[in-house]
Amino acid sequence: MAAYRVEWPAWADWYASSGSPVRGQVGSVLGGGYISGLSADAGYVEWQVVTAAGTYTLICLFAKAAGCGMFQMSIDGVDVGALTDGYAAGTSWNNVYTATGLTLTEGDAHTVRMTSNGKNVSASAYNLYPQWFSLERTGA
Amino acid sequence: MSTLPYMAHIKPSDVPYASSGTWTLSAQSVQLGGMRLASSAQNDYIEWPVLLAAGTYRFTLIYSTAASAGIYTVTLDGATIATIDSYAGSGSNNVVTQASGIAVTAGNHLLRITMADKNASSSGYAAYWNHITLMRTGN
Repeated sequence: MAAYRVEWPAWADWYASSGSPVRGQVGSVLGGGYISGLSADAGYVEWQVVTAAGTYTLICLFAKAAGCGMFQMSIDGVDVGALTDGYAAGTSWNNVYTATGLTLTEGDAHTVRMTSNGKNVSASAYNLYPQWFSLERTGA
Repeated sequence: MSTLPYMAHIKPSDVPYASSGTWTLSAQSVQLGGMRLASSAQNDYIEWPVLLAAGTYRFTLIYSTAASAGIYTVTLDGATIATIDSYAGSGSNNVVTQASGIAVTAGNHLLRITMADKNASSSGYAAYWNHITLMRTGN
């Protein structure tokens, strides 16, 4: 029986990325750290997860900063949730991204990818600062 | 095709399957994950079951170096998959060492880390680690 819930810290390790993510640690941020180092537009970092069949909610804790771009989450190459602005004039930790109603099949690994996709006109770069992810089954 | 996990994360607060020696859990404001597990005696070990899909995996240990730190031997089902010297004259936190190309069969396995040895320059066998990951990287 595959899992109904999978969670992982962004900073522990990753399956693939467009560049070289850098692990960072800041005081009391949820999840105990984050990754940076992906500063280019269309930069991405991804993980492979195996779940039971069902409907899921994807949650990402992330930081906003003056150098952060917009990001889009996708699963198996299909965009999920809303394009989300990571820009904030001052660094802000523990922001919560949520995408609900995601249908996942059992028996294959699913690729969860976070990709930078443009930026707020005020942002100075396209950085991604993810802290923590979880996929939790909410229904059949 | 698999219904088994492609990654396993072990954090210091996870209850071990078995251990030897005294391992002390503490909150840490400067270490990834916000906590660490420490021991100080030679041959102290701690192990956990990990359920994994078949494939090739990368092992990651995130730890602190110190002038009193020893050398970790990491085994999976008794076979050594990494040997990591955590000695440094001037210690650092959040040091990352990885070992790749670890062949894993489907099912439960025992992952053990043992403070088996020490660098000739080290004053002890201290262990300070804050996260362990096994991530599937290929078939």
